[in-house]
Amino acid sequence: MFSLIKKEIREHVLSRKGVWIFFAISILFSGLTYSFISVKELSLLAQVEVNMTFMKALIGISILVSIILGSTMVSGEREQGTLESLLLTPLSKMKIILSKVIGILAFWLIISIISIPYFYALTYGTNMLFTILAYLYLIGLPLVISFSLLSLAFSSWISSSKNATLLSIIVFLVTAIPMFLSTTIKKSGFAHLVDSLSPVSSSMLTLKDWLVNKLSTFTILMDSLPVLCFLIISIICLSYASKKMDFLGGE
Amino acid sequence: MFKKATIIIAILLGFFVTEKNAFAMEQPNIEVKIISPNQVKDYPGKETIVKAQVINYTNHSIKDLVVYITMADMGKKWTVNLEDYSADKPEQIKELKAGETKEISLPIRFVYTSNYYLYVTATSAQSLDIYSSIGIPIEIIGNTKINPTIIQIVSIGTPLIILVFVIIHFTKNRRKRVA
Repeated sequence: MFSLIKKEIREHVLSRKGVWIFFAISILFSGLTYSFISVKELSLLAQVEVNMTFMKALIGISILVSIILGSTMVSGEREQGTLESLLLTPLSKMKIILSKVIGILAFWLIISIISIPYFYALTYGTNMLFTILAYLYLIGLPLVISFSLLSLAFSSWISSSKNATLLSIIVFLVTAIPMFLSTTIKKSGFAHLVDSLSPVSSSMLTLKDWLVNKLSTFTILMDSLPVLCFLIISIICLSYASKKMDFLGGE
Repeated sequence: MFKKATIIIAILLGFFVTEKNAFAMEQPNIEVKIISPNQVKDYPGKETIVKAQVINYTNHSIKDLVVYITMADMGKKWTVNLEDYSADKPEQIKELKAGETKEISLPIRFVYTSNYYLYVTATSAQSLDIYSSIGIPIEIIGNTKINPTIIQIVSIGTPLIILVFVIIHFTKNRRKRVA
Protein backbone atom coordinates (compact mmCIF):
# COMPACT_ATOMS: atom_id res chain seq x y z
CA MET A 1 0.00 0.00 0.00
CA PHE A 2 2.88 2.35 0.84
CA SER A 3 4.29 1.97 -2.67
CA LEU A 4 0.83 2.78 -4.10
CA ILE A 5 0.67 5.95 -1.98
CA LYS A 6 4.16 6.88 -3.23
CA LYS A 7 2.97 6.34 -6.80
CA GLU A 8 -0.08 8.54 -6.28
CA ILE A 9 2.03 11.33 -4.74
CA ARG A 10 4.62 11.05 -7.52
CA GLU A 11 1.91 11.14 -10.22
CA HIS A 12 -0.13 14.00 -8.81
CA VAL A 13 1.92 16.05 -6.36
CA LEU A 14 5.44 15.81 -7.74
CA SER A 15 4.51 15.64 -11.41
CA ARG A 16 4.99 18.49 -13.87
CA LYS A 17 1.22 19.11 -13.81
CA GLY A 18 1.22 19.18 -10.01
CA VAL A 19 4.03 21.70 -9.54
CA TRP A 20 2.59 24.02 -12.19
CA ILE A 21 -0.79 23.90 -10.40
CA PHE A 22 0.95 24.92 -7.14
CA PHE A 23 2.65 27.80 -8.95
CA ALA A 24 -0.66 28.91 -10.52
CA ILE A 25 -2.39 28.76 -7.12
CA SER A 26 0.35 30.86 -5.51
CA ILE A 27 -0.05 33.46 -8.29
CA LEU A 28 -3.80 33.47 -7.64
CA PHE A 29 -3.25 33.89 -3.89
CA SER A 30 -0.76 36.70 -4.52
CA GLY A 31 -3.21 38.53 -6.79
CA LEU A 32 -5.98 38.24 -4.23
CA THR A 33 -3.75 39.27 -1.31
CA TYR A 34 -2.31 42.23 -3.19
CA SER A 35 -5.81 43.38 -4.13
CA PHE A 36 -6.59 43.77 -0.42
CA ILE A 37 -4.18 46.68 -0.27
CA SER A 38 -4.49 48.02 -3.82
CA VAL A 39 -8.25 47.89 -4.61
CA LYS A 40 -10.01 50.74 -2.80
CA GLU A 41 -13.20 48.84 -1.91
CA LEU A 42 -11.27 45.81 -0.62
CA SER A 43 -8.81 47.95 1.32
CA LEU A 44 -11.76 49.32 3.33
CA LEU A 45 -12.64 45.83 4.57
CA ALA A 46 -11.90 44.95 8.18
CA GLN A 47 -8.97 42.60 8.77
CA VAL A 48 -11.31 39.82 9.87
CA GLU A 49 -13.36 40.24 6.66
CA VAL A 50 -10.17 40.16 4.59
CA ASN A 51 -9.22 36.84 6.18
CA MET A 52 -12.71 35.45 5.69
CA THR A 53 -12.62 36.37 1.99
CA PHE A 54 -9.21 34.74 1.58
CA MET A 55 -10.39 31.62 3.43
CA LYS A 56 -13.45 31.37 1.15
CA ALA A 57 -11.19 31.56 -1.90
CA LEU A 58 -8.79 28.97 -0.46
CA ILE A 59 -11.57 26.51 0.36
CA GLY A 60 -13.22 27.03 -3.03
CA ILE A 61 -9.95 26.39 -4.89
CA SER A 62 -9.09 23.41 -2.66
CA ILE A 63 -12.46 21.74 -3.26
CA LEU A 64 -12.31 22.38 -7.00
CA VAL A 65 -8.79 20.95 -7.31
CA SER A 66 -9.56 17.94 -5.12
CA ILE A 67 -12.74 17.02 -7.02
CA ILE A 68 -10.96 17.31 -10.37
CA LEU A 69 -8.18 15.06 -9.07
CA GLY A 70 -10.56 12.62 -7.37
CA SER A 71 -12.98 12.27 -10.25
CA THR A 72 -10.21 11.33 -12.69
CA MET A 73 -8.27 8.98 -10.42
CA VAL A 74 -10.20 5.70 -10.79
CA SER A 75 -11.93 6.35 -14.13
CA GLY A 76 -8.59 7.61 -15.50
CA GLU A 77 -6.94 4.32 -14.53
CA ARG A 78 -9.85 2.50 -16.14
CA GLU A 79 -9.54 4.52 -19.37
CA GLN A 80 -5.78 3.97 -19.54
CA GLY A 81 -6.23 0.25 -18.88
CA THR A 82 -4.09 0.30 -15.71
CA LEU A 83 -6.96 -0.45 -13.32
CA GLU A 84 -6.82 -4.14 -14.21
CA SER A 85 -3.23 -4.54 -13.01
CA LEU A 86 -4.07 -2.48 -9.91
CA LEU A 87 -7.00 -4.75 -9.04
CA LEU A 88 -4.86 -7.84 -9.56
CA THR A 89 -2.48 -6.75 -6.79
CA PRO A 90 -3.07 -8.34 -3.34
CA LEU A 91 -4.37 -4.98 -2.10
CA SER A 92 -8.08 -4.75 -1.32
CA LYS A 93 -10.26 -2.27 -3.23
CA MET A 94 -10.64 -0.21 -0.08
CA LYS A 95 -6.86 0.07 0.32
CA ILE A 96 -6.49 1.14 -3.32
CA ILE A 97 -9.11 3.84 -2.78
CA LEU A 98 -7.49 4.86 0.53
CA SER A 99 -4.12 5.38 -1.16
CA LYS A 100 -5.82 7.62 -3.72
CA VAL A 101 -7.47 9.62 -0.92
CA ILE A 102 -4.04 10.07 0.70
CA GLY A 103 -2.72 11.28 -2.67
CA ILE A 104 -5.42 13.97 -2.82
CA LEU A 105 -4.80 14.91 0.82
CA ALA A 106 -1.07 15.32 0.16
CA PHE A 107 -1.96 17.66 -2.71
CA TRP A 108 -4.29 19.67 -0.47
CA LEU A 109 -1.75 19.75 2.33
CA ILE A 110 0.73 21.50 0.03
CA ILE A 111 -1.95 24.02 -1.02
CA SER A 112 -2.66 24.72 2.66
CA ILE A 113 1.08 25.13 3.37
CA ILE A 114 1.33 27.60 0.44
CA SER A 115 -1.52 29.61 2.00
CA ILE A 116 0.20 30.00 5.41
CA PRO A 117 2.50 32.94 4.46
CA TYR A 118 -0.50 34.75 2.98
CA PHE A 119 -2.48 34.20 6.17
CA TYR A 120 0.51 35.42 8.18
CA ALA A 121 0.55 38.64 6.15
CA LEU A 122 -3.21 39.10 6.35
CA THR A 123 -3.47 38.44 10.09
CA TYR A 124 -0.40 40.56 10.89
CA GLY A 125 -0.80 42.52 14.14
CA THR A 126 -3.66 40.37 15.41
CA ASN A 127 -3.95 36.99 17.16
CA MET A 128 -6.14 35.52 14.42
CA LEU A 129 -3.54 33.26 12.78
CA PHE A 130 -4.04 30.36 15.21
CA THR A 131 -7.85 30.51 14.86
CA ILE A 132 -7.54 30.69 11.07
CA LEU A 133 -5.26 27.64 10.95
CA ALA A 134 -7.46 25.76 13.42
CA TYR A 135 -10.46 26.45 11.20
CA LEU A 136 -8.54 25.44 8.08
CA TYR A 137 -7.55 22.04 9.48
CA LEU A 138 -10.66 21.33 11.60
CA ILE A 139 -13.42 22.45 9.22
CA GLY A 140 -11.69 23.00 5.86
CA LEU A 141 -9.99 19.59 5.89
CA PRO A 142 -13.19 17.51 6.47
CA LEU A 143 -14.93 19.57 3.78
CA VAL A 144 -12.17 18.93 1.24
CA ILE A 145 -12.00 15.23 2.22
CA SER A 146 -15.80 14.92 1.78
CA PHE A 147 -15.73 16.32 -1.74
CA SER A 148 -12.67 14.20 -2.59
CA LEU A 149 -14.41 11.02 -1.36
CA LEU A 150 -17.58 11.87 -3.27
CA SER A 151 -15.67 12.55 -6.50
CA LEU A 152 -13.74 9.28 -6.01
CA ALA A 153 -17.08 7.49 -5.56
CA PHE A 154 -18.35 9.00 -8.82
CA SER A 155 -15.09 8.04 -10.47
CA SER A 156 -15.53 4.43 -9.32
CA TRP A 157 -19.18 4.31 -10.36
CA ILE A 158 -18.95 6.08 -13.72
CA SER A 159 -16.56 4.73 -16.34
CA SER A 160 -15.97 8.13 -17.99
CA SER A 161 -13.65 10.66 -16.33
CA LYS A 162 -15.43 13.55 -18.02
CA ASN A 163 -18.83 12.51 -16.66
CA ALA A 164 -17.44 11.89 -13.18
CA THR A 165 -15.78 15.35 -13.17
CA LEU A 166 -18.95 17.00 -14.47
CA LEU A 167 -21.11 15.33 -11.83
CA SER A 168 -18.68 16.27 -9.04
CA ILE A 169 -18.58 19.90 -10.19
CA ILE A 170 -22.40 20.00 -10.35
CA VAL A 171 -22.61 18.71 -6.77
CA PHE A 172 -20.09 21.34 -5.67
CA LEU A 173 -21.96 24.14 -7.49
CA VAL A 174 -25.31 23.10 -5.98
CA THR A 175 -23.83 23.18 -2.48
CA ALA A 176 -22.07 26.48 -3.22
CA ILE A 177 -25.19 28.18 -4.70
CA PRO A 178 -26.09 30.04 -1.45
CA MET A 179 -22.74 31.85 -1.57
CA PHE A 180 -23.84 33.60 -4.78
CA LEU A 181 -27.35 34.48 -3.59
CA SER A 182 -28.49 37.59 -1.77
CA THR A 183 -29.61 37.38 1.85
CA THR A 184 -33.23 38.02 0.79
CA ILE A 185 -33.35 35.04 -1.60
CA LYS A 186 -31.60 32.80 0.94
CA LYS A 187 -34.35 33.37 3.51
CA SER A 188 -37.11 31.55 1.64
CA GLY A 189 -37.95 28.63 -0.63
CA PHE A 190 -35.50 26.23 -2.23
CA ALA A 191 -32.56 28.57 -1.64
CA HIS A 192 -33.25 28.50 2.11
CA LEU A 193 -33.37 24.70 2.08
CA VAL A 194 -30.05 24.47 0.20
CA ASP A 195 -28.53 27.12 2.45
CA SER A 196 -29.46 25.29 5.64
CA LEU A 197 -28.31 21.87 4.38
CA SER A 198 -25.26 22.86 2.31
CA PRO A 199 -21.92 21.88 3.89
CA VAL A 200 -20.25 24.80 2.07
CA SER A 201 -22.75 27.29 3.52
CA SER A 202 -22.46 25.84 6.99
CA SER A 203 -18.66 25.97 6.84
CA MET A 204 -18.90 29.69 6.00
CA LEU A 205 -21.36 30.22 8.86
CA THR A 206 -18.95 28.42 11.19
CA LEU A 207 -16.15 30.73 10.04
CA LYS A 208 -18.28 33.81 10.70
CA ASP A 209 -19.42 32.61 14.12
CA TRP A 210 -15.88 31.64 15.08
CA LEU A 211 -13.98 34.67 13.81
CA VAL A 212 -16.46 37.57 13.89
CA ASN A 213 -19.24 36.73 16.32
CA LYS A 214 -16.92 34.77 18.64
CA LEU A 215 -19.75 32.43 19.65
CA SER A 216 -19.53 29.47 22.00
CA THR A 217 -17.92 26.14 21.07
CA PHE A 218 -21.34 24.50 21.16
CA THR A 219 -22.76 26.93 18.56
CA ILE A 220 -19.70 26.45 16.36
CA LEU A 221 -20.13 22.67 16.62
CA MET A 222 -23.81 22.98 15.72
CA ASP A 223 -22.90 25.22 12.76
CA SER A 224 -20.43 22.66 11.46
CA LEU A 225 -22.82 19.72 11.82
CA PRO A 226 -23.76 19.64 8.07
CA VAL A 227 -20.02 19.36 7.26
CA LEU A 228 -19.69 16.29 9.49
CA CYS A 229 -22.92 14.80 8.09
CA PHE A 230 -21.62 15.37 4.56
CA LEU A 231 -18.37 13.63 5.49
CA ILE A 232 -20.27 10.59 6.80
CA ILE A 233 -22.47 10.49 3.65
CA SER A 234 -19.34 10.72 1.46
CA ILE A 235 -17.66 7.85 3.37
CA ILE A 236 -20.79 5.69 2.93
CA CYS A 237 -20.98 6.56 -0.80
CA LEU A 238 -17.31 5.73 -1.31
CA SER A 239 -17.43 2.44 0.60
CA TYR A 240 -20.41 1.42 -1.55
CA ALA A 241 -18.75 2.63 -4.76
CA SER A 242 -15.44 0.91 -3.97
CA LYS A 243 -17.26 -2.45 -4.05
CA LYS A 244 -18.55 -1.59 -7.52
CA MET A 245 -15.08 -0.59 -8.75
CA ASP A 246 -14.22 -2.83 -11.65
CA PHE A 247 -12.30 -2.67 -14.92
CA LEU A 248 -14.05 -2.35 -18.27
CA GLY A 249 -15.30 -5.65 -19.60
CA GLY A 250 -14.31 -6.57 -23.15
CA GLU A 251 -12.97 -9.20 -25.44
CA MET B 1 -60.19 102.21 3.13
CA PHE B 2 -61.93 99.11 1.74
CA LYS B 3 -58.85 98.37 -0.35
CA LYS B 4 -56.58 98.56 2.70
CA ALA B 5 -58.92 96.31 4.71
CA THR B 6 -58.89 93.72 1.89
CA ILE B 7 -55.10 93.71 1.84
CA ILE B 8 -54.91 93.26 5.63
CA ILE B 9 -57.46 90.42 5.52
CA ALA B 10 -55.53 88.80 2.66
CA ILE B 11 -52.26 89.00 4.64
CA LEU B 12 -53.93 87.56 7.74
CA LEU B 13 -55.43 84.74 5.67
CA GLY B 14 -51.99 84.12 4.25
CA PHE B 15 -50.61 83.70 7.77
CA PHE B 16 -53.45 81.34 8.66
CA VAL B 17 -52.96 79.15 5.57
CA THR B 18 -49.18 79.02 6.03
CA GLU B 19 -49.59 78.16 9.69
CA LYS B 20 -52.00 75.38 8.81
CA ASN B 21 -49.53 73.97 6.26
CA ALA B 22 -46.72 74.12 8.72
CA PHE B 23 -48.93 72.38 11.26
CA ALA B 24 -49.78 69.71 8.66
CA MET B 25 -46.07 69.13 8.05
CA GLU B 26 -45.45 68.64 11.77
CA GLN B 27 -48.17 66.01 11.94
CA PRO B 28 -47.38 63.45 9.24
CA ASN B 29 -49.70 60.54 8.54
CA ILE B 30 -47.06 58.05 9.59
CA GLU B 31 -44.17 58.56 11.92
CA VAL B 32 -41.09 56.36 12.09
CA LYS B 33 -38.94 56.47 15.24
CA ILE B 34 -35.74 54.56 15.96
CA ILE B 35 -35.96 53.19 19.51
CA SER B 36 -32.53 51.61 19.66
CA PRO B 37 -29.64 52.01 19.25
CA ASN B 38 -29.05 55.75 19.65
CA GLN B 39 -25.68 55.47 17.96
CA VAL B 40 -23.10 52.84 17.05
CA LYS B 41 -19.36 53.18 17.44
CA ASP B 42 -17.65 49.87 16.84
CA TYR B 43 -15.36 47.81 14.64
CA PRO B 44 -16.29 46.23 11.29
CA GLY B 45 -18.22 43.01 11.63
CA LYS B 46 -20.45 44.47 14.36
CA GLU B 47 -23.96 43.05 14.16
CA THR B 48 -26.89 44.92 15.62
CA ILE B 49 -30.68 44.98 15.49
CA VAL B 50 -32.28 48.31 14.77
CA LYS B 51 -35.60 48.60 16.58
CA ALA B 52 -38.06 51.12 15.23
CA GLN B 53 -41.63 52.19 15.89
CA VAL B 54 -44.13 52.96 13.14
CA ILE B 55 -47.08 55.09 14.25
CA ASN B 56 -50.22 55.66 12.21
CA TYR B 57 -51.64 59.15 12.96
CA THR B 58 -54.50 58.91 10.47
CA ASN B 59 -58.06 57.87 11.24
CA HIS B 60 -57.95 54.97 8.78
CA SER B 61 -55.88 51.81 8.56
CA ILE B 62 -52.88 51.62 6.25
CA LYS B 63 -52.18 48.35 4.50
CA ASP B 64 -49.00 46.76 3.15
CA LEU B 65 -46.38 48.96 4.77
CA VAL B 66 -42.78 48.24 3.90
CA VAL B 67 -40.20 49.30 6.48
CA TYR B 68 -36.49 49.17 5.73
CA ILE B 69 -33.09 50.49 6.70
CA THR B 70 -31.40 53.17 4.64
CA MET B 71 -27.84 54.37 5.14
CA ALA B 72 -25.84 57.24 3.79
CA ASP B 73 -22.05 57.07 3.89
CA MET B 74 -21.14 60.53 5.12
CA GLY B 75 -17.43 59.82 4.75
CA LYS B 76 -17.56 59.04 1.06
CA LYS B 77 -20.76 61.01 0.44
CA TRP B 78 -22.69 58.20 -1.21
CA THR B 79 -25.43 55.73 -0.43
CA VAL B 80 -24.55 52.16 0.50
CA ASN B 81 -25.41 48.80 -1.02
CA LEU B 82 -27.36 47.29 1.86
CA GLU B 83 -26.88 43.75 0.54
CA ASP B 84 -23.23 44.01 1.66
CA TYR B 85 -24.54 44.82 5.15
CA SER B 86 -27.10 41.94 5.12
CA ALA B 87 -29.81 44.57 5.58
CA ASP B 88 -31.54 44.43 2.23
CA LYS B 89 -34.62 42.57 3.45
CA PRO B 90 -37.45 44.92 4.47
CA GLU B 91 -39.97 44.19 7.22
CA GLN B 92 -43.59 44.14 6.13
CA ILE B 93 -46.55 45.37 8.13
CA LYS B 94 -49.72 43.93 6.65
CA GLU B 95 -52.03 46.41 8.36
CA LEU B 96 -51.47 49.38 10.63
CA LYS B 97 -54.79 50.41 12.14
CA ALA B 98 -55.76 54.01 12.88
CA GLY B 99 -53.70 55.32 15.78
CA GLU B 100 -51.85 52.02 16.09
CA THR B 101 -48.11 51.71 16.82
CA LYS B 102 -46.05 48.73 15.72
CA GLU B 103 -42.49 47.85 16.59
CA ILE B 104 -40.20 46.26 14.05
CA SER B 105 -36.66 44.84 14.23
CA LEU B 106 -34.24 45.15 11.36
CA PRO B 107 -30.86 43.34 11.53
CA ILE B 108 -27.72 44.86 10.10
CA ARG B 109 -24.04 43.94 10.02
CA PHE B 110 -21.56 46.78 9.51
CA VAL B 111 -18.80 45.78 7.13
CA TYR B 112 -16.87 48.78 5.86
CA THR B 113 -14.97 51.41 7.81
CA SER B 114 -16.64 54.83 7.52
CA ASN B 115 -19.09 57.29 9.11
CA TYR B 116 -22.74 56.74 8.30
CA TYR B 117 -26.20 58.10 9.01
CA LEU B 118 -28.66 55.26 9.46
CA TYR B 119 -32.38 55.86 9.22
CA VAL B 120 -35.51 53.75 8.86
CA THR B 121 -37.93 54.42 6.07
CA ALA B 122 -41.57 53.36 5.71
CA THR B 123 -43.80 53.42 2.69
CA SER B 124 -47.04 51.78 1.65
CA ALA B 125 -48.55 50.62 -1.60
CA GLN B 126 -51.51 52.96 -1.00
CA SER B 127 -49.60 56.21 -1.26
CA LEU B 128 -46.50 57.68 -2.82
CA ASP B 129 -45.55 59.36 0.46
CA ILE B 130 -42.30 58.19 2.05
CA TYR B 131 -41.69 58.54 5.78
CA SER B 132 -38.27 58.39 7.33
CA SER B 133 -37.01 58.53 10.88
CA ILE B 134 -34.34 60.86 12.18
CA GLY B 135 -30.89 59.45 11.42
CA ILE B 136 -28.58 57.93 13.99
CA PRO B 137 -24.80 58.32 13.68
CA ILE B 138 -22.80 55.18 12.95
CA GLU B 139 -19.04 55.20 13.26
CA ILE B 140 -17.24 52.09 12.09
CA ILE B 141 -13.64 52.31 13.17
CA GLY B 142 -10.87 50.92 11.02
CA ASN B 143 -8.96 48.17 12.80
CA THR B 144 -6.76 46.84 10.04
CA LYS B 145 -3.16 46.30 10.99
CA ILE B 146 -2.24 44.85 7.60
CA ASN B 147 1.25 45.95 6.67
CA PRO B 148 1.46 46.66 2.90
CA THR B 149 5.21 45.91 2.87
CA ILE B 150 4.65 42.40 4.28
CA ILE B 151 1.83 41.84 1.76
CA GLN B 152 4.15 42.86 -1.09
CA ILE B 153 6.98 40.63 0.14
CA VAL B 154 4.67 37.60 0.51
CA SER B 155 2.83 38.24 -2.77
CA ILE B 156 6.07 38.38 -4.74
CA GLY B 157 8.20 36.02 -2.64
CA THR B 158 5.90 32.98 -2.39
CA PRO B 159 5.40 32.43 -6.17
CA LEU B 160 9.13 33.02 -6.68
CA ILE B 161 10.04 30.33 -4.11
CA ILE B 162 7.63 27.89 -5.78
CA LEU B 163 9.09 28.79 -9.17
CA VAL B 164 12.57 27.92 -7.83
CA PHE B 165 11.18 24.52 -6.74
CA VAL B 166 9.63 24.05 -10.20
CA ILE B 167 12.98 24.79 -11.88
CA ILE B 168 14.87 22.46 -9.51
CA HIS B 169 12.28 19.76 -10.19
CA PHE B 170 12.64 20.11 -13.96
CA THR B 171 16.44 20.18 -13.79
CA LYS B 172 16.46 16.97 -11.70
CA ASN B 173 14.08 15.25 -14.12
CA ARG B 174 16.15 16.30 -17.12
CA ARG B 175 19.34 15.00 -15.49
CA LYS B 176 17.61 11.68 -14.78
CA ARG B 177 16.47 11.41 -18.40
CA VAL B 178 19.96 12.22 -19.71
CA ALA B 179 21.51 9.66 -17.34
